[in-house]
Amino acid sequence: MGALLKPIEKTLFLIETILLVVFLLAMIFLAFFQVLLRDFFHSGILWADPLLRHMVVWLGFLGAAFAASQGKHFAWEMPRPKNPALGRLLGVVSNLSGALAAFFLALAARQYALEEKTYGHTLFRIGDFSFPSWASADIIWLGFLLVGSHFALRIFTPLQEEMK
Amino acid sequence: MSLFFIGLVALAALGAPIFALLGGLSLFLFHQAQIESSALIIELARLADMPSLIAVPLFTFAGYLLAESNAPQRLLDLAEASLSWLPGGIAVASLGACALFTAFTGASGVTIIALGGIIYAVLTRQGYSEKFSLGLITTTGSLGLLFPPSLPIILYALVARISINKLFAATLIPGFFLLILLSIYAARVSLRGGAPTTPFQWASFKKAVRAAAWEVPLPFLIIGGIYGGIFTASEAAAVMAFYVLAVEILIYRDVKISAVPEVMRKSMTLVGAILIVLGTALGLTNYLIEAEIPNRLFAWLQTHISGPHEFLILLNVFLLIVNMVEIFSAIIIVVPIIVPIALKYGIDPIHLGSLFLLNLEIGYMTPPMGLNLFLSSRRFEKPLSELYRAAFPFWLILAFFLMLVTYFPGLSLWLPRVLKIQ
Repeated sequence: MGALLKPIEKTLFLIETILLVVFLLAMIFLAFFQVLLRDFFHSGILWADPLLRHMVVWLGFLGAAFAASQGKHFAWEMPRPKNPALGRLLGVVSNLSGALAAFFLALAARQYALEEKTYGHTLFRIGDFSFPSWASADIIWLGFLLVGSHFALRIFTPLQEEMK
Repeated sequence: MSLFFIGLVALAALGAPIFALLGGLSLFLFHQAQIESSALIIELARLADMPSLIAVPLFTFAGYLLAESNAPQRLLDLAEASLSWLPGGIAVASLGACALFTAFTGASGVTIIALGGIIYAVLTRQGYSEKFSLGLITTTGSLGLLFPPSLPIILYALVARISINKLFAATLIPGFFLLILLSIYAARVSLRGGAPTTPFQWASFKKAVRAAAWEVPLPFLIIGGIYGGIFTASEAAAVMAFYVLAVEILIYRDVKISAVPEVMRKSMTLVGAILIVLGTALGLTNYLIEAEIPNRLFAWLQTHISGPHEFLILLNVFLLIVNMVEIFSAIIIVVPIIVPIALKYGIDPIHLGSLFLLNLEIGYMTPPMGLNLFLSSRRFEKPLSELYRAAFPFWLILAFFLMLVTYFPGLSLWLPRVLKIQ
């Protein structure tokens, strides 16, 4: 089972890394450029601040996905049991609870996204392109789904550090 | 209902992620109160309405990049060249370098990993005992937590909904006093043990300044910019992330471009772990406030504790226990509950922030669970019991200082008042 799932995990890892690097670099340059514009030219890009605020959330979900794949989510750290079978069982409990919580949160977020599609509004405009609130809401449930998938994968595949 | 809570506690004990516990609890409580589960996500989506939140990923990335470069070594060389003429100078230099490094790396535990080995070698070479050296390193892992732009200060201000810049100013004086107290202790140990001093040498000082020439302006740029009212915390984070990226990759070339994605991934893993807890906790704390839990807790407390002084003692004991477990989650979960209660006892929220953060700093090195103790134990391959003993004198100094910060609010409130920070 683990061998079957490893390629999926590797592909996800690659896509997430590319997205993370692009988002974080864009965020650094855009935020810095905005400071320059504000402090030296007393102006700024109108859409930059709301876009940056939303990008923090998107980056947060990507980071949370990595944390799930590496077992780095905050948890009450117990001393590692000496019995490997018990250790494995604790790992399954932790990953299963992470996966279940993330999937239920994804369901709640999906409901929120549907409500936003009905009553939502425009978050910001870049030229003629307007970014609707439901698109941002969609990212939240997709984010939880991604985090949940990593937890679920971890039940069957070993830690990424161990794979390396 | 009680079965559900027992299940949650059991899952927590078995190592379930904190966000899963918070999310599960929130969904359950919302369901019980017949509130749509989407209301929980409405609260989570409010993360995108927090303009200062961008400071969290940007400062964290810049800190991780600094830790990955040779900046820690350059910083220590500079501190050593500046202070080794003093009795206990090397120890004081180590304290200063670590404080600055911890502040800039978000107090995420990287100081002990990045600087611990170098400092241990320098201190033992100078004749300091192994016990003192280990104690000092274990303490310094969280020493910069009170200095801007430390991540816990930003997170506390965000969660407590107070001004980040005001809290930066409030913790600065306690941070410096603590550094001075620890320096006095180090000098005393040095004088008693006869650790040698070396005369100040302009040549090595100039060499160290030249080597760190691009990093020396960073604290002045960031801290000066924030206190001077030039930058907000989020603007300072943007400047720092850009500056560190340019300096470490293009000028020093300590970190290869190919290694940057790994640094980004590591730093955003921490950010993701924080934000998902923050996001799921927003709904829960909103529920708790709607259910008037802080008010009920206050009413109950008032029957046992009448004045603010007793409340502060109880709070300090409670925080030391909670903060030992996990500091970022502690901030996110505990702060929304204690802030309204402390307000009712007449405690200034800025003063509360200052003592909460000092508690965090002590929690990092409080046995049996403090993170610094584990990190030092892993880094130096020493049993935990040895580290408990090594860190104890330092812990006593910090605990004494906590009493001062607790009962002399002026230590925290004076600077924000003088600087007129809103």
